[in-house]
Amino acid sequence: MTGLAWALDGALVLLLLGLAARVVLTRDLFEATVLFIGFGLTLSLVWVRLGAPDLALAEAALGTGVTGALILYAYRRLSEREESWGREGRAGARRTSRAQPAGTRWRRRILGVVVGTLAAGFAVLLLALPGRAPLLPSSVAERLAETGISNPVTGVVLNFRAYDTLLEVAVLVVALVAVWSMDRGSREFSRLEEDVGSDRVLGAFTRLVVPVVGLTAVYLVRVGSEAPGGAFQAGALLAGIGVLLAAGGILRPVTAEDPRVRALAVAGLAVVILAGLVSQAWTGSFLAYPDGMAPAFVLLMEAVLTVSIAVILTALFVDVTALPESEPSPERVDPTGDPLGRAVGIGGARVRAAEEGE
Amino acid sequence: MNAAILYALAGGGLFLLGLLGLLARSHLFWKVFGLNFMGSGIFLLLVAGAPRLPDGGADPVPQAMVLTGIVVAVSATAVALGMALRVMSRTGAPYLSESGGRPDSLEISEPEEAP
Amino acid sequence: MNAPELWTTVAIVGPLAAAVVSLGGGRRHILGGLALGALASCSAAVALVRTVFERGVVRHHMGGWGQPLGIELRVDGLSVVMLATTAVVGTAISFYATSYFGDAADPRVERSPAGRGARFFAPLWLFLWTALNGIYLSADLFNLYVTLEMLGLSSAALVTLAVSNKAVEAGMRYLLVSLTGSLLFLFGVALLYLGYGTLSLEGLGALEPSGTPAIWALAVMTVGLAAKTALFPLHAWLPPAHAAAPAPASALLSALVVKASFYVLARLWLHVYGVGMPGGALGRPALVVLGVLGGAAIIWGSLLALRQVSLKRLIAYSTVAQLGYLFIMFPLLPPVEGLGGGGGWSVPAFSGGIYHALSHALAKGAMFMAAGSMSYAVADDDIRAVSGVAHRLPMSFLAFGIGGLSLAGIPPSGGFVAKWLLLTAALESGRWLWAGVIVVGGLLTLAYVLLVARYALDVEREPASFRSVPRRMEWAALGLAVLAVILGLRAVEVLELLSVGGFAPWR
Repeated sequence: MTGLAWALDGALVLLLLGLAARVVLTRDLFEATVLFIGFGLTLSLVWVRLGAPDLALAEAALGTGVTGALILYAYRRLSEREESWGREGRAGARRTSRAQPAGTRWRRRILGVVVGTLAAGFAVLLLALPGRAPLLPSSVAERLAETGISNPVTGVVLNFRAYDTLLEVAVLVVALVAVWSMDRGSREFSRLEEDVGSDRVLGAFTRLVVPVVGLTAVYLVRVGSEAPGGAFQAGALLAGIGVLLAAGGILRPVTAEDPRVRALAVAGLAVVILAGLVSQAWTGSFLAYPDGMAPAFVLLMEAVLTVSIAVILTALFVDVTALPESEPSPERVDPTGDPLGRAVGIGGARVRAAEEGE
Repeated sequence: MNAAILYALAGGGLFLLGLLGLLARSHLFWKVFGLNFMGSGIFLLLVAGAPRLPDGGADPVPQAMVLTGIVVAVSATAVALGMALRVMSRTGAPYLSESGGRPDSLEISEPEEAP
Repeated sequence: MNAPELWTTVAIVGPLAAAVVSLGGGRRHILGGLALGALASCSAAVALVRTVFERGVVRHHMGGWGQPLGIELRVDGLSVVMLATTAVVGTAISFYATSYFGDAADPRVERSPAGRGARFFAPLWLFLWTALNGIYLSADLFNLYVTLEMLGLSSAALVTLAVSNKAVEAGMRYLLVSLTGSLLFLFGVALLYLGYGTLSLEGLGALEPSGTPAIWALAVMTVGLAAKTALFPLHAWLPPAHAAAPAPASALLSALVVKASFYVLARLWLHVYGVGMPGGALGRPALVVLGVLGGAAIIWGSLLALRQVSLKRLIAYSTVAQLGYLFIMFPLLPPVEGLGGGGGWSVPAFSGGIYHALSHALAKGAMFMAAGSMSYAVADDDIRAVSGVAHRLPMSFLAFGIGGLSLAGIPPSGGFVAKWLLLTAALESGRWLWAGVIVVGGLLTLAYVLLVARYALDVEREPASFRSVPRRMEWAALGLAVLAVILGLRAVEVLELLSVGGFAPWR
């Protein structure tokens, strides 16, 4: 290995670990969030360096883009609330970490030492791993040709281990339903629009960016079977546009109330299930595509999945931070005085009242 | 020794850094950061630690696993953030209260809320 | 088209499709989804029980690719028994939930907290059911990780459906524990893949994992799974979460969700690694560690249950204690030299442990549903407040009582059979200490069951207020309790089913 390559890799590793350490140790939430995004971009570079371009795309779009945006928006909601309550966080709402009693600091130092020892032990462990015959990957190489897909990662994701992909999409839907099921404000439209308002720079940016990103997303889906790309990355890109459009008020409302949103969110899941069942009817195994039809199935699934993922991620972004407006209280008793609640016959709010009695 | 081992070790280090953050910081958002680092660490370990194929290419299976893992991590982060915000909205601060995590006590517990 | 493979697909895709249906928006979507999920799970369970009984282990290569390339589903006696129990308990809870949550389609209800429960319980529960079935059928490490995450996210969301500060905090804590546990599991999976080049459980078993890296992988995975199963001392998250959740959610969390991570742990220790077996990794001391923690859970959990004033917390601590029994099975497994057993585990020990998981699922489901009905009636969760409720709600009280007696090991019941098997295993091999713990645990269980009964049967006192409880809710609870008894009476068939697949590591 050349000296330059070593320097590059060394720098990337130092950057990675350094950023992570800083995020973990800082008391400033804003700094942590920004550095976290920086960490994600560094990680994308690392994936490129390791020969995993699909991952670089996914990390940049999903791991850093979506996650970072979520945390940033949540941070904003958090500091907003703290300021409106006039809490101690008011002096720089960023300072949201409180001082710890001495005992806790010592516990943390011990924890740090333990973890450090584990790190050293881990290094030894890693170097002791048996060199193994790469059973699995060589089988992939051998049989990839049968699938008609030339990007090996796509081959694994959408063919050999397509069942995992089905579950992974289900996990996304679960996350969306989970967020929808949480306490929320009663407004119907996207809070995002209210937060951002109409802004000329945003408008111009949106007009510029939407077509470019949209095209890129389409390209990624189309080319995913042969080159780096795929539904998840494309979906994340589209979600980015989705959030921009929702912020500008053009796309609304992306919430659980709208049946079209719900339908699109589950469409990807439904298509994969159907593809699996049709395959099973044809060949006897779930998601075992009929001979020669794999590329067609894969393209169809990726296309619908892209739209679904875009909708899910946009809806997540909109709703994770849709908090109820009320004041906090340590022991908050929910509106059992709510006449609507009482109007509900069996179950419902009345049972909530019963649960309060724990 | 090549770069792959370096990255794999970095992955393990990242995992432990994340674990540290998860356990040592009480602010809920930092716990989310910790979980994310733990995940990234495992992903790095997996991709970097996997030997190359006989023909020189990268092993696609860990990459597929990491791709799935990233999606699952995004889902989990979204739910965790949503819940953390609800905790803050209800109790006033993004921390889990001591009483919730109080170690079990053999004293007779009082009913926690008056009916 | 091969029938058994179809049924494995139905078991997983059925509830999944049902979840999609239940997001439709109207009450009929909710009911339709729940019905579809129950129908799919039950019919698949029945079909697979029959097939496994007659033909032995069933495999389904998803995608048509066999291992190590693809993901394999594997159904043996243990899988199918867990699948069937999940189907039965799940159906009962679905039934109970349709009454509990009321009418979501009422537009006045939609925006209220009650509306959220009504709208979102069904989809979350159906996704959870998918994950449970997926875990019991899966034989692939990474697949298990994804399914475990699905299970964790849906479970945590079910806790926060309840509208209280406690529920939200308990749900958050539960989510953090669950995610950490899953990541620890994934770390182990990564180490195993790097070391052995396969993700298939059977493939890994054939490679006989042993040596430092494999042991460390198992250790890390065990810590993660133990946290998810609330094994002492990582149990503190469970009582607040199971107590604060809405009653149907408490039932399915205690009865079903915690069993899934236990199942994965047992598979790894016993079938893949063969811990404590000749030729397997580690040795008996590792099994003893699990047993000791289990024993501690039994004693500590039961003692704390006795000190609770909240009925649901009492039942939740009971879960912590009963889960301890599952871990007591481990040190009793290795056959003692000279007492036979061939190359496999002690049959009574293994059967007893699993039987305990099954009967606990039925009994605890019944108890939480009954407690939910009783609390609903008197609008309070304090056990003193349910005074006198027994004669007003005889069915619920009976359900609670039968469930409790099953847990305490009173014949005839599934719990009795389980404890009998475990005691047999302990006494046969001269492991007296474990026998003692099992007996003491049973007595403590009886104590806290009688504690509740004493208040409920107190005819002197009338409940302060009383609401009538929908018949459906009472029937669901009583039904499960009766099944817990039947499980005790039909033990022979169940044990025979359990033996399919053998009692030895997969080599």
